[in-house]
Amino acid sequence: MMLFLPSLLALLGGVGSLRIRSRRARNCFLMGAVTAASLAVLLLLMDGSAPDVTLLRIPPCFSLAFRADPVNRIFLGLVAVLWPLATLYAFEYMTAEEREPRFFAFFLASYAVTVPLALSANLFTLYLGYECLTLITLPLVTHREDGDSLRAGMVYLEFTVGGAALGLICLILLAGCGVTGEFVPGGSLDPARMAGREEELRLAFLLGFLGFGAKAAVFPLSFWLPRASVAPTPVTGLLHAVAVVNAGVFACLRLLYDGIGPAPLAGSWAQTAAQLLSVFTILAGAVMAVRERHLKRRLAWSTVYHLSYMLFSASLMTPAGLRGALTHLVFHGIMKLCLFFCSGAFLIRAGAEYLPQVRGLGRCMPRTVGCFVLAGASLTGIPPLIGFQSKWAILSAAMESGTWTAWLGAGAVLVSSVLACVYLLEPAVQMIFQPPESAAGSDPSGRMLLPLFLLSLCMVLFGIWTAPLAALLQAAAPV
Amino acid sequence: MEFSLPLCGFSLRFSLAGFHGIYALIAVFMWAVSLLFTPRYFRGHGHRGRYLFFTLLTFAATGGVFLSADLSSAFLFFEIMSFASYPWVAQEETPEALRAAGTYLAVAVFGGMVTLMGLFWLHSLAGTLSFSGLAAWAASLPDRSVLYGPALLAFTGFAAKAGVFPLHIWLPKAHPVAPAPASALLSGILTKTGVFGMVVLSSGLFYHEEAVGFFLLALAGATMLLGAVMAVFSTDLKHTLACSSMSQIGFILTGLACSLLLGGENALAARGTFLHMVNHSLIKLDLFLCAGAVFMNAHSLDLTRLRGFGRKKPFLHFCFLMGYLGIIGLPLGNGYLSKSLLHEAILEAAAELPGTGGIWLSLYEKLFLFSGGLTAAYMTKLYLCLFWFRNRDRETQDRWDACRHYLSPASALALGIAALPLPLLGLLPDRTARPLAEAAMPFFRGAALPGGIAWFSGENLLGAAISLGIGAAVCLLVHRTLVRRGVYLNRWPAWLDLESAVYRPLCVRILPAVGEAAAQLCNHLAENRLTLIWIPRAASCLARGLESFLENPFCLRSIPAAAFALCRGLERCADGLVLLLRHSLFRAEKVKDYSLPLSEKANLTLGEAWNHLSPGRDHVAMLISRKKEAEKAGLFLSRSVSFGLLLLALGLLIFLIFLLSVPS
Repeated sequence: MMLFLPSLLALLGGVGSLRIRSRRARNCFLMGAVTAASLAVLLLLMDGSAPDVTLLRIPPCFSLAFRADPVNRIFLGLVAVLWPLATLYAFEYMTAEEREPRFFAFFLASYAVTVPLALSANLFTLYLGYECLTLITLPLVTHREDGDSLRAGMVYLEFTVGGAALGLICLILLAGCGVTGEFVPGGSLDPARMAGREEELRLAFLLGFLGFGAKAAVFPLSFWLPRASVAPTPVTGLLHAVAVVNAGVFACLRLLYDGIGPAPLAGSWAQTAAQLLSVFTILAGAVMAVRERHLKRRLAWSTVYHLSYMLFSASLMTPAGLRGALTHLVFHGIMKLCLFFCSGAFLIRAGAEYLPQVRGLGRCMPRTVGCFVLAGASLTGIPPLIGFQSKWAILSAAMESGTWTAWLGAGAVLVSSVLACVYLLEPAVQMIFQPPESAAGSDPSGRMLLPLFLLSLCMVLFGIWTAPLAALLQAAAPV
Repeated sequence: MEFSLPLCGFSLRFSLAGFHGIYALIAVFMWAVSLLFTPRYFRGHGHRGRYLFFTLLTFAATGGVFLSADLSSAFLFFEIMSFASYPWVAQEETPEALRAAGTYLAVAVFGGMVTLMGLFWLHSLAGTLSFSGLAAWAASLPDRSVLYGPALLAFTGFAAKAGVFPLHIWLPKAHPVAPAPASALLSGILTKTGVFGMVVLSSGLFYHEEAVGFFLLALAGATMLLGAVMAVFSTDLKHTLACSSMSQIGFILTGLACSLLLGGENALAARGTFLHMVNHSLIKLDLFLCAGAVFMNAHSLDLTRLRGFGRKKPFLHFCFLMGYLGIIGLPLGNGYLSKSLLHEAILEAAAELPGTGGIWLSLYEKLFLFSGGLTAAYMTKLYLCLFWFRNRDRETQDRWDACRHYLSPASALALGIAALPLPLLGLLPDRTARPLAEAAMPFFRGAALPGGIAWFSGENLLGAAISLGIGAAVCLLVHRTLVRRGVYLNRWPAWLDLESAVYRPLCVRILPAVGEAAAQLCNHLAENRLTLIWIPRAASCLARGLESFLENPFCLRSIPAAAFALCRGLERCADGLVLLLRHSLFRAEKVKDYSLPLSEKANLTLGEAWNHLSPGRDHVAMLISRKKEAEKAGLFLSRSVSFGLLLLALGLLIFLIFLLSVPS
């Protein structure tokens, strides 16, 4: 029960809010529901002895099971902290959009789906959660119901459902190879049954990597993400920079480290292929981000290649690689959410959507611009902010691994950091040092600024004080 | 003197010993003086808060670099410093300032990332990044050529920060546009963080490695000469000083190179390197603050306009003179000490090295003296322009002469404090310069030097005299050719700018174009008409076709009809089988006698009688048909049972065969 309480609360909150007419009352109700759900999650995380739950068994080897293990806890903790902040931000943001009640209902419903997804104890459960998350977030992508949104929704659906189909094929192949899919550190592989079928296993891994990687926007399945940035900013921020895309990375991580296990894959052609794909995505995404003039799409391209940082780190198939990927999973979520929230604030308060329009915003929106610059500096990897931590972790893991693809990836990470400096600091410089282009707006109210400030605080605090995350990582990927 | 702090996921290691402590103190001194000068300079200037915030941030980071005892901590602070000093360059917010700031940032980021790569490589080889650990490890290597790759990468970022050719492009642009107190720090101490890194890498990893020594010497020569030539041609006060900084970095690097070439006999080279670092920091602080004092009153940096500004201003004259005498290497000035040490080191190396190496070094010595001469020439040009010549415009000259209160007390104090250490160092070398150098020697791995240094030996004085002679000749030439009636002509060819000729086109056009072409290609691969239109269209055609195939009359009627017919046919077959059986196995007796049997007759009679009794119904037919039905039922029953038994027998037979055929 403990495991399902957060989902239940979020779902009740989402559905219940549809019945409330007054905006004020609805917002209070929603905030209460989200906070309660997040508190339930945090209680779950505090309580080390939450039991495993198996709802359903489908013979011979599939079951619907949930568990709070260390890797799950990291993803779950991130989601639980960021969702209330995004909800708080969305209250003011969504006043500028239509169909508020429907938006919030689906927004909370996707929270309700993400929690079980994050708690899944085997590949099959993860796969089901993954599909549900795709479907439940579709109305959020197409929220505006104009041509762009509908097209973006179609592309989103095609890419992610197509990806999930590959994932399903992977599951079936794995079942044939004797992988139960139960998440055990090191993999649930039965060596006796696997013998002689390594190639099949590697093919299955690559299909799964591509399939689950579709949500993590790995090339060639990365093009839905920049298109999906037509959605309202809380969605692009929370779902397409944190929850949904991280679910893709999370699925790849679990498939690799706890489903199949790195032993039969390390050093094989499948690893090389996965690494080359992610390295290519890093370079291509960074270049596209530099060329893009639309601020939110630029950030979306940036998300594309930052997700590939995690996939690259994960596909090193070492404990250090897992730590690097998990570190970046958490830190990238915080930084990118802050950047998206800032760009959303520019959009609704100053109408600045394209790059030259942000000129001189530093004078009229100093707080928002400050947060943007801080988050941009952090994402570029300037010490002592958190972006530097995760980049350092990934690069050390790559160096430790020492294969030629790892070197290539390390080079790509550095090149993309230089490009990150270009595409993030260019708007920052325009905001601060150039005269305003038009009569611009003002800083948003406290409800939008509070999440920004909290995220900025996290960036500085956890950049310097690294003990909490180190403890979590120690539990997830012991050295 | 070492301690470590667990921060930022590292254990940051610091050291206060020797060089670390001395340079941290110099940083404190320079920041204090610069901040003292700031209020007057920023009077009536916006964004002072921003300037101060980033100045303090940069101070913290710079101090961190000098105090760090391993390369990872040094890099961490180095990066913070690079970014925190960006607002200095962009402070004025003019287009040139923003462009220069962009260049500064680009070079810093590029250098930082390349250095990071090198550090990771080095760490993967050595397993440690602490200065002492690296040095011990490199000393134990049989062949140090494996270190060339990582060390070159790590070197790049530090060289870029120091302004070493060919990464000097940001330096002559960024220093003039920054506010003067910031320029003093940028030039005086931020470049030294780059030198710091280069010293760690070269003397730590390549102690007595000749190949690296010559590589550094080539860079040093190019930087030294290029900076000096650019400074001679410059017509802008701060630009001249900035180019001069670049040239002086070349001098420092010369000392570093000689120290690598000499190995165990590097006593003079190492001391010269260190003292030139200190001298340059202090001299540039003084000179840039003088330039700031000029700029905040005259609001111009153009030499033609500034000509004659310093006349009748004895205090400014004194302060500038101290810096001027120091930097040109006049005996009793502080620059003379370090330059003559460096000169001696070159001569020593030329004598030590056999063959062509020695010849190259003796050629280099000429270059060194010539560059020293150029230093004297451009500084004399500035000095004469500011303090001796009159402006060609009489009105302007009157304005300059009337400008009496050009400094506030605090800024005058700052200027005085900045000028004071220079003569102290120059006049009392054995009391001041020597002990400092001795304390810093472990960091440079300089050999011990028992006995005193003959600062004013004949050889040194001769070198200085040659240098100053060249300087006087060049200065005369400059005033004959580049100055026409008090107007300083800018004869530096504009196309001769590495940044706008090579780097910018490369970074802004060529690389992005290539990158975009590649990215677009991939985009097209995934998102072209084939995948977006034709494949879905083909799929939908296929689906449509399948649908219409299923929905036509043939499928909807004929197939069911055919199936019905088939079922009927099969049913008939079964009937046929039954008929066949009936006609063969269960054949009925043929009735040959068509007369009615007795029972039929009785029924007939009984029925007719009944008909008579109750007319209205045919009782005969009823009785007969009942009887027939009963007979038929009995027959059917018996035949069905027999048919079933037959099939059962058949099944049993098959079962029996199966049992027999299966091997038990």
